Amino acid sequence: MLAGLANVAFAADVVGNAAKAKVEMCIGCHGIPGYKASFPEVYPVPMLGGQNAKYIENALHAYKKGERKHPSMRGIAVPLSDQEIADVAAYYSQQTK
Amino acid sequence: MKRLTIALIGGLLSLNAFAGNVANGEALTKKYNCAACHGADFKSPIDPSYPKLAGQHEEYLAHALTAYKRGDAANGRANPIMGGQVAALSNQDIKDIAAYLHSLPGSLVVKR
Repeated sequence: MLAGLANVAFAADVVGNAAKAKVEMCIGCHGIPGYKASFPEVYPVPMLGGQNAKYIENALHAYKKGERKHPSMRGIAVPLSDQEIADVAAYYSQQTK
Repeated sequence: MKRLTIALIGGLLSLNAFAGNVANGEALTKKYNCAACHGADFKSPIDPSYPKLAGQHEEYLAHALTAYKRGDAANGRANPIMGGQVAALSNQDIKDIAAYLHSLPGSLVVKR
């Protein structure tokens, strides 16, 4: 139980290389200015840099659980662990202008 | 008639395909009290679990609001809070709100 709590406490702390590795899956869309999603609707993908980490985490968990139905993001989020989701969220939240 | 048709088509093409009314959007965000959670400047939400909206892409914001309205259905987002907030919005309301939020100075960036 205590070990579990300790892991939770670390959830958003690990940012470095793990996050860098995982955002390889994000940058193909979210790292390109003006990039548009094309399926099932056409619109520019959201800017993630500087967004609240907790919000990004919740969004990825919602895609993973299927509360958000977007097919592409679901495919991205399903294989991510809680730790990877926290890392990706922390990575983007720390970007500034 | 032919010339009129061509003129009409030309007029339609010159319109922004995505035309939201910023002033009406501002009025709607006040009516629905969006700032109560997303922050008075829409870039300082009252809780980190809520997103910053100021300056976000207009069409994405409209997509997200539309998805909340669809709810637990194809291309939807099942979210009790946002589902309730958007229930009464028309498609034009959504476009107007998106236009207003997009027009605000924000802190979001696109970076690798």
